[in-house]
Amino acid sequence: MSCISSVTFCVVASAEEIDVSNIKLTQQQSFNGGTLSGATINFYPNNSTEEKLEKAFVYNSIRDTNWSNLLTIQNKDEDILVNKGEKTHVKVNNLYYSMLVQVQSVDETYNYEAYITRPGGIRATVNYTDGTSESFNDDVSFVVRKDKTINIDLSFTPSKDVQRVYISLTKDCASEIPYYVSVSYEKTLTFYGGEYEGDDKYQVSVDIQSEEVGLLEGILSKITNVADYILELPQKIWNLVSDGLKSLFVPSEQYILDFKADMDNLLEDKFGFAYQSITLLDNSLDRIVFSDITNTIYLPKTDITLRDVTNNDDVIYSFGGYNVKVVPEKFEFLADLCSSIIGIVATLAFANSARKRYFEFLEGAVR
Amino acid sequence: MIIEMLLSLVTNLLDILLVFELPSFPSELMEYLNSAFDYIVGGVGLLANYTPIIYLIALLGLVIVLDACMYIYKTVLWLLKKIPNLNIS
Repeated sequence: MSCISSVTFCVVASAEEIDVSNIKLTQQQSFNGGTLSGATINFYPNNSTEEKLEKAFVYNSIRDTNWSNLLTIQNKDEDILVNKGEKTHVKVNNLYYSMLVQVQSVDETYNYEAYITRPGGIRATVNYTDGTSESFNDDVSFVVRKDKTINIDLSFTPSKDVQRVYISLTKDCASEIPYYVSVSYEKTLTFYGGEYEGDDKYQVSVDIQSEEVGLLEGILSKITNVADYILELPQKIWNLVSDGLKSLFVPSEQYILDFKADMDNLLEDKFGFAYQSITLLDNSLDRIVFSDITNTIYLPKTDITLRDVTNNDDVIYSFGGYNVKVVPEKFEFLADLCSSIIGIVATLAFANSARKRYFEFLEGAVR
Repeated sequence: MIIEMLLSLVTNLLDILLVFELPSFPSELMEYLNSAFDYIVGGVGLLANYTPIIYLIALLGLVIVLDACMYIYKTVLWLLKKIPNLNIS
């Protein structure tokens, strides 16, 4: 009886989420014979004790109905059941998050996908425990930072229990280069006399897909940035020149206000009453033209005291103290009519005056 | 900056060239005048309910402009008539 364990870890990062999200951990395991009672995936922060896991997504895709369609996710707080075909996510505030996948069947193939989202990458430890006595540990660490150049330090320990794969990105990456890293290995175990034994044939493949495309896109992105900068250069130069010219010729608003105040003071000092008269007329005309039409008159309060001869007493009669509308209600149309008539008359008078001036002009100002 | 310098120069020149200083109205008289114009403006505001006051002011301005043009025209003609060689009657 043999057991083929295949674990595939995929890291997909792109754009702004290069350091944060879409770290997808996919585990597919084929198990023939024996009883697999459970598998535990432990998620750690990659290298920091201060960082916290933010979200973990688990998707239950157990295919065979003979199996229990449940995944039991255990963390420190509670057990979470995920039904078949369901996806759930767990927000974890602990530094240590352990997910125990319970599978309650035998001789079938199952798979599940676990997604984890956190800044800085993940470190996942996968422990397999079969129904007998063997257990296998796969300790896979991902360190994904805001890096651009991908250097893979693949440290694969050819032991039975532990394999480690380190992926580190060492150069600062601010571009939007999508890349895809896939690390997989396959381990074949053979069952001899009630025990599993590894055949020491570890197959590890590290596949970096789209890296070249990513680099090309990065170069193109840089070239595009340079081209954009060059294209924007004339506009920037023009803005610089126009701002300089503007400051050279156009005075500031505060200076104009100060200048007007200085001129007013100077003219008032020099021209005295003449300037005051002109100012008075100008202000009055402005008030007439630009102010609202007064539609009320305030009648001041007036008291009239009369002597009541019969009772030998003073009687006070009060008037006013209120506003009176110039145009009474429901008679606005009369005001409009009057305004229209006056306007027509004024227009005719002006036309007549202009006509007379015209004839005077034709007659050569004989008058 | 250049315009600011020119404006400052104009202000200083005016201050130097205008050597006279006409007297101002006494403050009491200005108060009376202000009150009188307040009444006038108030009365015009009341009239504006029945008259298109802005329209009338505009027409009045046009009449004044026309009259001024005519007086200038007459003055120029009067001067031209004083020249015998032109023979303008």
